Amino acid sequence: MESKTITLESEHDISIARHEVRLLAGALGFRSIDQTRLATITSELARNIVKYAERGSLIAQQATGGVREGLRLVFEDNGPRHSRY
Amino acid sequence: MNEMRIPILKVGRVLLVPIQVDMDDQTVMLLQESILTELERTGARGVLIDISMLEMVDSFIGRMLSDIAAMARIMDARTVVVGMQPAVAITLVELGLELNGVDTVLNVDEGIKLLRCEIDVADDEDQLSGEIIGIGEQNYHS
Repeated sequence: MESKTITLESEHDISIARHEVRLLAGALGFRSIDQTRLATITSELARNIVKYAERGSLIAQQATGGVREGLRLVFEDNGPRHSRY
Repeated sequence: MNEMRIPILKVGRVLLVPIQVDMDDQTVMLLQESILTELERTGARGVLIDISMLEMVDSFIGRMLSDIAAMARIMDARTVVVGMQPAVAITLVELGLELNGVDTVLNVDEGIKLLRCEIDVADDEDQLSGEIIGIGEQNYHS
């Protein structure tokens, strides 16, 4: 499965990110409750980036190679270490 | 940017707000304003927010629901949130998020029932205080 990169720089990107993560999680066979958990966490982390770092990205990819398969979500930004508020 | 519109329907003295799409932050803020504007315009005494189609409630949406309840209360209206999906409830609790000041019930029927009860109680209290004012006026004139 291909990995997906989502740019996070506007409030609208937050809802795009959680939508994409839910789709990926569904495609990978996560059950509904775990899809909700992943979407909610994605929303929280993505909002943090948009709000405090202004821009960043989310890389979502299938995690394989280990004993278990999963979904790897990497949130990256180059924002200030401390929030301004 | 796609801006979504959430309908606000007046049913009796209750505003019914069915949220049927995943809302971005902009839509959330807009909805908050629209509900308060409609409360003032219609004189409704209750707000019933149906979130049964919402697949996720994060801290932002949770805070929005709390804020709406607090603001509506100041405008003399009660707010009830109905139809929360089990997965949403589980995630809210796991994240330690609380919907402060928000009454939640299982479905729209129960929500309407609860709001009708509360509105009736508030009406009775209004009538009572009205009568007391009436007595006061009579005494003043005699």
